[in-house]
Amino acid sequence: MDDEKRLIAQLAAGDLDSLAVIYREYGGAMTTLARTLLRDRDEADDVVEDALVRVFEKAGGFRGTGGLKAWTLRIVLNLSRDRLRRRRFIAGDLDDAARIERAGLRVDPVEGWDEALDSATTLAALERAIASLPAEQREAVVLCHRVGLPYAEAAATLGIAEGALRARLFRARAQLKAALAPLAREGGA
Amino acid sequence: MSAPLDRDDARLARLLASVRADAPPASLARARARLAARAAGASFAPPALAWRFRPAALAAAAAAGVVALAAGGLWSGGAATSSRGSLVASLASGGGSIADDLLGESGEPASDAAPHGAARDSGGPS
Repeated sequence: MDDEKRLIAQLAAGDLDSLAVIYREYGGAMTTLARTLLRDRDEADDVVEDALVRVFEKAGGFRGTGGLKAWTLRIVLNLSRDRLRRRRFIAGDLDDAARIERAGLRVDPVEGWDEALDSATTLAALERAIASLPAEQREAVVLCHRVGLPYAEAAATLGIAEGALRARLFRARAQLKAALAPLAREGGA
Repeated sequence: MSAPLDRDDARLARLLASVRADAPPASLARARARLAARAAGASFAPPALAWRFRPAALAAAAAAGVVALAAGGLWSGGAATSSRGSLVASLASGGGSIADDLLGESGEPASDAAPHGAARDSGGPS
């Protein structure tokens, strides 16, 4: 936490090199969050760029509650929501595999992964299942299970109570398990 | 994970966590350039122009270019059977409306109208 305070102080003082430290630490999570929510690599990279500018400009107002990672991801989340609101009526077909590829995401096999499982198929099924969730559940799932935020930090990022976050995750997992059941059985440990 | 998950939940969590993206260095470079330019009190490009160099804008511009080329090719193809020529020539001459061309009301073959519509709908930036 002291490191975070020092980093924030350096940002607030106008030290651009500190922005590189932020990006090295959280850039992967920022990019993963934006690309998962927007499913468009170029738009997501725009959002990450805007978020970095905002982090630098708003560092002086950072209160320290919830942690620097949660604060940074909240900025990415809000910018992604703005983009989604703007393009609501021209969103692509969720079943269009090309749109999923455009998101610029990749599958990193985890422990217990079935080597024979086709990663392109897995990615498409996962993204379709996540995209079919209501927005509030989708955000909760991505923050907790994909970006890896602890529940308390994810709740702070979303601006909700931890109990509400758990309820969203419970409903989301039930829906995702039903959608991914064949895949999970095939690829599970 | 802050709470114990059952086996299926844990399996699902592994699947979800296996998808990620790398942080592209260009995002940081562009952000730093914007901030540095702002700090210097001058932008390397006017804001409207700078916006056009961002990834989504470049992708949209490229898509629009492809559509324009495709549409131009179709109109040029129509010119082989028409004395009027391309869309640009049509606009410049003011001799007839675009709607006339699309509807084939000016005597062009009706089959020319369909490809124009198809091209316009197929690749527009989203």
